[in-house]
This record gives sequence, structure tokens and C-alpha cells, in this order.
Amino acid sequence: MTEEISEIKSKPVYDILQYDPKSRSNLLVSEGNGLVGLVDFLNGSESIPPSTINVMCAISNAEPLNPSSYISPDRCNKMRLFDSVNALLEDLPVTLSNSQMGLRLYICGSEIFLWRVANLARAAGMHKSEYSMQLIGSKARRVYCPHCKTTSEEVTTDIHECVGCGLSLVNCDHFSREMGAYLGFRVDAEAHGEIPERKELYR
Amino acid sequence: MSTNFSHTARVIRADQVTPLIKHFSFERVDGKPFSPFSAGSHVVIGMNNGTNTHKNPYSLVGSSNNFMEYEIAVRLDSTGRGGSLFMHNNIELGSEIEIGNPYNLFPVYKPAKKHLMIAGGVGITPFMTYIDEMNLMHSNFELHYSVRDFENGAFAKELQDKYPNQVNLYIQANGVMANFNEILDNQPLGTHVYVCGPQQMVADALRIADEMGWPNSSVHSEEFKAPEPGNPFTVTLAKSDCKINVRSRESLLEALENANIEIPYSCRGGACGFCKTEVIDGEITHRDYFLTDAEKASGNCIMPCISRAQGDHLTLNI
Repeated sequence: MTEEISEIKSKPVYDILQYDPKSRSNLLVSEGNGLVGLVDFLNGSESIPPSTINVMCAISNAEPLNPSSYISPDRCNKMRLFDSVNALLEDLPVTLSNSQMGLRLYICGSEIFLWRVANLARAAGMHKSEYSMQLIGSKARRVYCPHCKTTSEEVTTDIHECVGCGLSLVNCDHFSREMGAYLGFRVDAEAHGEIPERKELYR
Repeated sequence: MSTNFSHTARVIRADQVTPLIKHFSFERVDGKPFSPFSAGSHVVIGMNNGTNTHKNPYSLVGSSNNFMEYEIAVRLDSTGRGGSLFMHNNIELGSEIEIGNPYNLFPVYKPAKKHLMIAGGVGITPFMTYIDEMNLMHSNFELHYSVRDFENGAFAKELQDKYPNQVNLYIQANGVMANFNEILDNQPLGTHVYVCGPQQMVADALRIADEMGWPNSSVHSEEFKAPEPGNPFTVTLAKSDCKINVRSRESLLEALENANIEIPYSCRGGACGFCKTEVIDGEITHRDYFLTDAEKASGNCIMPCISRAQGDHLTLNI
């Protein structure tokens, strides 16, 4: 199935990581296969001084890649590996709070990961022009339920049952960068009980 | 009187704080409170010298929590067009002036992790309200204030006494110059920098911030120009079907106001965009910060507070 181009403007459109030559330091962050994006980025930007590059990778996927075999130690100042996404996300605010102006952040991984990192960056005072993101991996969505205000994680189907209130929600492409979540709404709002068959769309 | 002005106010304090800077406090003649304002706001002061009204923008320097008084600091520019000279020589305790509503072109970005202020000379004025507000919010802030000499550093002693750890004073007469590379280096992520002062200082600070990887969104500056004299020209008003002569030492906006044509304005210094006016004919010398390069090139709009005709005429669609 080819992915339809959404007409909804808030739906994020992703590109490959873009090096900002004005950066003073560069923090590369990935999870899972997102590592591939970091490697491509480094191969495509050989002019970046290795001393300005720090790498943080979470290697928790079922098919773990070994970052050390892809990024040689002399290509960066420091590479840190985390055995889970959560471990990386717990460390990141500390790393950012010890960083200085001139930092650029490059994020690569699943869509949920991208926005979790982006929100930590924003909480650390970074502007969207200071980070770049590339989607490699799962397109599973976080879906916000406006009925009970709960966000369901890792939704892969167009219709799902809200983890908060159990209503069947259809999720649309309207995306909140602040929440890192798509908007869901009750699929049978007009005709209670009529729940169409669900399709797996976001993997 | 322009509808842009709202209140008559009376001087309740006037202090010469440096040889060139006079600090005024005003209260409303009707005894009512002024409008609330946010840190970094300016007001336009209208002063009538008997023949015409000077209107100059000034940053508010008093506490934004005292609605009964507005305070400004006026630097004497003896080569200027006479507004500051009039404020220094003729406005004293009890004098009445007109005062407009506050407008903020230079607001504090409150979510910033740290606020870094760079001031030169009278560019300290917007930061007086900044520091007041940052102190109340318990924000992390730092001021770097360059003055010609200590005597000419308005509020320098008061700021240093009150905030010895946050205020860095650079006295050029003692050979101490602010080094923007050092100031902007190693600032924590999430810092916003605010620059106000002479044109060259602002340009230098912005350039260095850019070179050091500060995103535009974290860099803020304020600089009002004063209208410069130029060649006299004639302006034709297409809709009102009349012609007005703009003299060498008056701005297009002032000439229109003197002919009782009301144009909305706020900063009178080419920054806010309020007075943008459509031009139908004539070449323009643009001097503002507001219009985009494309708008300037199109030649169909002008900021009459500061820009003039290049030739001897302009036709406006008003």
C-alpha cells in the first residue's frame, strides 16, 4: 500500500538529517535502526569536526545493531550506548542541561521516539531550528483521546480502543507537536455501536 | 492632537542622572492609573513647543507594577531634531506632555532558561523593566552594560549595587570593552540574548551570535532610528486629492500629521510597522527595519515615520 499524502498540514513531513554548519557542537541521538540514519549523516558530512560530535544510541530492538561497528571511535568525541529507549530518554535532559548554545541535535528513529526527544529538547529551551529529525523505523502513533484525555501508545491501526475510556477511536492526521500525538475521536460518535473493521496502517 | 495619544500627563520627578540623560516620572493629570505594560515596552511622548508637537518614542524604565506612574529616560541628542533637547531644557517638574499607550516590540521570552542582556549607553532603558521583571520571576539573568565612562552610565551604580552578581559594567574610558565572543561563549542551552544600543554594537552582537550558532529565534534586538533630514519633496494624496510639502527636517509622517492627516503609528522609528502606507508613484528611499526586501523592492509601500522620497515627489494612496 502506498502511503497517501495527507492534506492535513499538521502531519509531520520528515526529511533526512541536515547538518547545520553554524553548529558549535552536534549531538546525534538514535534508537534501533535509526542508527542507520546517523551513519548516513556522518558519511555525508565528513567536514564535521569529530571533536564536536557526541552520539547517544539506544539499542533495544529485537534485531540490535552494534553502533560501534558502524561509527568508528575517531569519528566522534564520545559515543554512549543505552540498553533501552527509556534509559536514553532519562539521561538526555541531564546531557542537554549541561550543554551550551550552539548545540544542534540530530534525532533518528521511530516517530514516537522522534517526538519524545524533540519534546525533551524543547523543554531544555531548544527551538525547532536547533534540531533535525529523520524517521527510520516504526510509524506507530501516540493517539490522544479528547474524550478522556488519555494518550494511547504504539497504535498501529486506524481504529483502536482508547486505553483510558475504552471507546473506539479513529485517529486522524491532525498532529500535536506539543503532545507528540495524533488526535483520535470516537468512531461511532454519530451511530453508537457501529464500529468499522480496523486496518493496520502504521507500522 | 492625534488619536494615537491617549493621556495628558504631568511630570512629578525630573532628575539629571548623567550629564546627558534625564530621568522623568509622570502621572496622569486626571489622576487615573496608566495602562499596564510588559517589560520592554515603549511609549510615544508628545511635547508641544508652542509651534509644533515633537513625538518621540521612549522605553519605559519604571516598575511595571506601578500603574500610577510611567518613567522614561531621555538622552540628549543636541544634533538631533530637537525633541530630546526640548525634553532636557523645557520639561521640568509640573510640565504637561501627552503620552501614548504602551506598545512592546521587545518583549522578554519568558520560557528562556536564561536571559542575557547586552546594553550600550542609553540602550540600557528597556532592560530596566526587564531586570525588574526577571528579579520578580526569579529568572536566571545576566546584564552586560557598556558605557563611555562611569559618569555617563545611566543607572549603572544603582544596577551594580542591587545586582552585583548579575551586572557586568564595561567602562570604555578605562579601556574596558565588552567582548561579545566571550559573553556569548559557553552560555547554557536555552539562553536568549537581548541587545539594545548603538547601531554598530547591535550589528556586531547579532553577527557574532549568528557565527556562534545561536538560532535567530534566541536573539532579540531593539533599535529605533530617528528620522534623518533629507531633501524636501512633495507628496500627493490620491484619495484626499491634496498636495503636501515635506520639509527637509521633518519626516513624511510629521508632515502628514501637521496637515491633520491621521496615520496610525507606534514606534516612529521604522520598527513596528503601524504606519505602513501604500505608494502609487515615486521612488522611495527606505530606511526602516520592518518591510521585507521584496516589499522594499516593489516600491509600493513606505514607512512614513522614517523613509522619504528619493526624488522630489511621492503619491500615496490615502
